[in-house]
Amino acid sequence: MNRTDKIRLIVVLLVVVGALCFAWLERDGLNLGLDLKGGAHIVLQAKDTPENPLRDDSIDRLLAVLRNRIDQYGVAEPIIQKSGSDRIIVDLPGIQDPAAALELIGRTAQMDFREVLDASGRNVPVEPQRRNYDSDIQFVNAQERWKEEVAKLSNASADLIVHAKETEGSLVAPAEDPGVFYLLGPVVLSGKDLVNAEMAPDSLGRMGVSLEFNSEGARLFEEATARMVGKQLAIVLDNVVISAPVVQDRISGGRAQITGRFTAEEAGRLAIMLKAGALPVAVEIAENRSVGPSLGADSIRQGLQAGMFGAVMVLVFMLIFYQFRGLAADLALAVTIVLIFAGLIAFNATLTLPGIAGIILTLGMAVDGNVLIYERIREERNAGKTPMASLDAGFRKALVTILDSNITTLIAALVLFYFGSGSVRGFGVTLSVGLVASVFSNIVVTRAILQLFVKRGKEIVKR
Amino acid sequence: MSMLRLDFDFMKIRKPALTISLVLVIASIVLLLTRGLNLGIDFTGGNVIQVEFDNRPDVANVREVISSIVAKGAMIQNFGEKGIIIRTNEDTEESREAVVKALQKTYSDVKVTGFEKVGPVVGGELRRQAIIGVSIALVAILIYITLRFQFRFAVVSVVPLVHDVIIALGFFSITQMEISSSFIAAILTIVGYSLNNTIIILDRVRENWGTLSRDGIVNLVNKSLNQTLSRTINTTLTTLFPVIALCVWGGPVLAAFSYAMLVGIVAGTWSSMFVATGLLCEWQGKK
Repeated sequence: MNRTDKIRLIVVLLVVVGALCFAWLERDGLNLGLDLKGGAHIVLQAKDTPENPLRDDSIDRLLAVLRNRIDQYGVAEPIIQKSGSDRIIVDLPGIQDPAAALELIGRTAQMDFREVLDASGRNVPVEPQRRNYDSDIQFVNAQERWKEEVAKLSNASADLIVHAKETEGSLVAPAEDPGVFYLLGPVVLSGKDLVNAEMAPDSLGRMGVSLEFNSEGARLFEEATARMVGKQLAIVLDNVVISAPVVQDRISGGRAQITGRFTAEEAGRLAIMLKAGALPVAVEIAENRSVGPSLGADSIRQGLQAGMFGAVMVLVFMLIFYQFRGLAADLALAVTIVLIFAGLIAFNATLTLPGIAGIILTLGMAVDGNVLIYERIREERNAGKTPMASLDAGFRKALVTILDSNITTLIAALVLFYFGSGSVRGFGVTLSVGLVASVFSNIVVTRAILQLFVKRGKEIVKR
Repeated sequence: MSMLRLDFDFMKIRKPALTISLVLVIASIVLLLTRGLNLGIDFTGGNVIQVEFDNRPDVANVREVISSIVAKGAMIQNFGEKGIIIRTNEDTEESREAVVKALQKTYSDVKVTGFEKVGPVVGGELRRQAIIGVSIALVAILIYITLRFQFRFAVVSVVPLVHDVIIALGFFSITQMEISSSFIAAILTIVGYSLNNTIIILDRVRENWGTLSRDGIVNLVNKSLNQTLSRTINTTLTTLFPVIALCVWGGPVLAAFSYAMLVGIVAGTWSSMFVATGLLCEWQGKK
């Protein structure tokens, strides 16, 4: 065994053992994409509205509020990052209730206290039900009357809007009950004067949120309640009146309780949103994907299954067609797979479902290098060279071809990585890592193994 | 096998082969223009809801239940063994919630396993990204081959790529399989694979280039094709095995990707052997 062969063998052993150890020790470091482990992927788009124009720091403040909310909600390893100039990507792995999470991060949660100046009468009557009427005609008439009532109610809110124009800083807001509108005075106190908010049931056992104001807020609240005894004070959340209690007495001490029609979960979320603060700008859900854990597990299982069957077919084919040179190729393929996983962990890449497909595809493409080399060696041998010389020439001539063909595919893979997003990007990474790993296996690993055989005097190529 | 002296006259049929390819490409383009592609919500925006039942009802039954909520054109399909997948073109959160509520009201055993919503802005961006991405890849590859080989080789190796991509798109137009963002990955992989094949054959042509004046271009190309034939067959097989495994066992999420690869590999092998080489013969012969 000459010097070069020794060095090559040592390099192969070092790389393989190193990659195996690394992959084994860091096996928890392999990131699975949300499509495999389940979770929610939400893209928020900040909206530029006249009331809340987008400024340079809007997105950063938005990020801070979202981080705060998600941390308090308790999601393990969330990813919250800026994307472009006006978007935020939120990845929440493994959450059970994606709809709740969406509400938590998508809602502005701007809370104001305002004086109630006027209200448009009453609730919308219940829609008539067919079974309460004797005939179709009666039912249709009842429906007509009901529609008129609803129309009248919406006209009433139009009156309020006219009044609202007369008073500076006032607002017409709907209540949670359909058909009820309030004319509200200027903001007395807002959510930014809060120091704490907690979910708490009131004395009747209804779910609510208890609020604690800072000293400025406490002073404003006391002044307002003193002035408004006997009047209604509205608590407005995102321009909807969630409750409008009558002020019984002046309230000092900076504490208040809001009650609405909440479930315990809703009250808990509201408390988190109020504590973390309102979103500085309104957001829109641009993209929202959620994969349940069972669907993800199915995908992994199916991916592994396809990978195993594919790998076995390739391994068997190479063994049958190239016999023990096929064995060398199979060993090299095993090394390629180890290197791919080690590489993915080292680059902190995320394995997605298309990524798994990329690895499976790499299995087939990886042995291409071996096929090229073996066919070359055969040609050289047929041309009458010695086993050693044909091995050498075969590798040398195939090398250029292998590099050319892999570099062009690598160009496509890098473009995917650069321009793709999400799972497509994951595919680009796996394909790139797979290409580099397979070229190394083809050129170095296979060579080291074959060199050993040839040195032992084996005829590696049938003539 | 190794003793066999391969000597097929591939280039004898280059004109019929090129004609077949041309017909397929034109047919694909006509299909794309008339029938179009079934673009998924990644590109169009919309809602996809995946649900699972203990006792799966008929698709028609589910359609009935949600027909009052979603506008026409909702796509409802069986998914896996217990699942149903519902796709609507409405891209609001409210529309999704309404569908889920209606399902829960009718079926007590329904479980939402996943959903996707893509707004219209993102969809448009993805479409643009896809076109830019594929174009940049093609230009970059063209430049690389021009540098490594010569411009003529670059052109005859890019034509098959366009051929393969159009045929793969044509296949998706016929089958109306849904195209999602991972389809872009499949297309670029097809480009990479087909190119791989073409380059290996052209590489051999370049190696044999010295005998051009003696053999003539047709014989030279034939010799190169025969020399690389067993490699072409073996690599096509070893790549097809995993892709077939993906088609059979890879599950419904990967189905479109897997079939795109399958068509792409077949088209890619064909185009490397006949289109790239055939064009080179025609072009060189003109001179």
